[in-house]
Amino acid sequence: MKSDTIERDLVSPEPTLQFGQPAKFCFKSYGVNIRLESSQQSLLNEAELVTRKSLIGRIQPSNDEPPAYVFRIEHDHKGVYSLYRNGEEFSSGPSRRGLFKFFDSLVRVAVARDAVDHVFMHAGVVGWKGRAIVIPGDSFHGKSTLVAELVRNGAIYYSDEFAILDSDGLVHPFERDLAMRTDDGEYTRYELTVESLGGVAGKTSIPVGMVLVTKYEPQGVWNPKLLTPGNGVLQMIPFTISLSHRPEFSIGVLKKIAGRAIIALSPRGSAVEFAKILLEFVDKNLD
Amino acid sequence: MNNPQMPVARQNGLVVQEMPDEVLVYDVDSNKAHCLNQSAALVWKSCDGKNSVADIVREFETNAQGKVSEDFVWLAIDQLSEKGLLQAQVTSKFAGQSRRQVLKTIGLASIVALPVIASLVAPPSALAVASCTCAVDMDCALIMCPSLICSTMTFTCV
Repeated sequence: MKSDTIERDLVSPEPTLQFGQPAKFCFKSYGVNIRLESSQQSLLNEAELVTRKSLIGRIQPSNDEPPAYVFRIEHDHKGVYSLYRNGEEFSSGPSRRGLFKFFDSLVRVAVARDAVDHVFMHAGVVGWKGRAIVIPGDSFHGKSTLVAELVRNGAIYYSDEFAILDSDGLVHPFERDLAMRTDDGEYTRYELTVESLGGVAGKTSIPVGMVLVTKYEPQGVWNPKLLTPGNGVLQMIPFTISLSHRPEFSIGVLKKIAGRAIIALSPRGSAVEFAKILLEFVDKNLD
Repeated sequence: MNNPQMPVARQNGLVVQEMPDEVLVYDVDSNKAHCLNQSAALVWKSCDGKNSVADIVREFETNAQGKVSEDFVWLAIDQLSEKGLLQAQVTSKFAGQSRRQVLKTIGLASIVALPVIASLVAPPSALAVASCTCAVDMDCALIMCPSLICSTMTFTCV
């Protein structure tokens, strides 16, 4: 089932606000202060809607604190949409839909990079018998597909994009709709709700039981190699978004996870079969 | 310039995390992470600019409780130098020999685990990499990435 999106294309520019001052929307998410601006109220309204959906409502008023990021969206008389980040033009083009898709990614990654007291890892996450299975991976490597299959097999949905880890190494839910793509060669995007998979989303933070470093291969065979904690941290580092911004805190949190969790490395085959194999493996190897 | 016979462990620009039998090092400047096994970590810690290779051998034997040769320590120093974990690069003691040959020679004579450093490069900018992900060229235009070609190796717009 595809959930509703808030994308829409408009055919004409809307009225510009008078008196030169752009409209603003200020908020804080995971401790990161962000300000959205536009000289057109409807663009700002849409930016706010996209932000709320992108961060699944996890935003609070920022109380006039200085922003780490200022995003400005404009639409000129030639029909070009432009996105500025901290005063620099970041992207421009004729598609309103395209601009807001890009903005959606940018605002989420900005929060992920600068989050205070949390480490964001690019990963799919499910809960299984009170512990999290974290699957680090880049986009288009099958994270969402595998997470969806695990949920169909009874796992609790936590996220298909980020493992959000606190300073104790506990993982928190980021239960946005799953972002899927068709496998017909067109890679068309669509979204799935966790309910449509017959599953439920996690509500509380849980410890990490297993970190699985895997990648889909058409002939991939599950042959797990268990990693030492140090090599486990090494495998998680490329997916840790806050690493460049807060390396000491990030690596400290990864160390806590590696000290408690099984870290396995293996290729995998189709998600449908692999989901069952993985859950059996976890049952056998976690107390 | 440092005397390569008395190598100095680099400290600036590194985040060091001690693990039970390993040391994890993140190089902020090069964006690389390294995992030193116990043998490599012991040699690294002894590289204080005052210890000669012979001194490092003695310190190692005291801490690891096993006999090692100077070549064993040089194997670690070579790797530490290659990975940028020493203040100044040293000239390889084993120039002209393959790593396989060296490992075979030293490994046969050693009862202690050989020094090993595993390394990975972290993405240069999470902000860029995580945002400009794509499956086909059209995605790059659709999400308005500055680059319009989708690399199917990295699934990013390049």
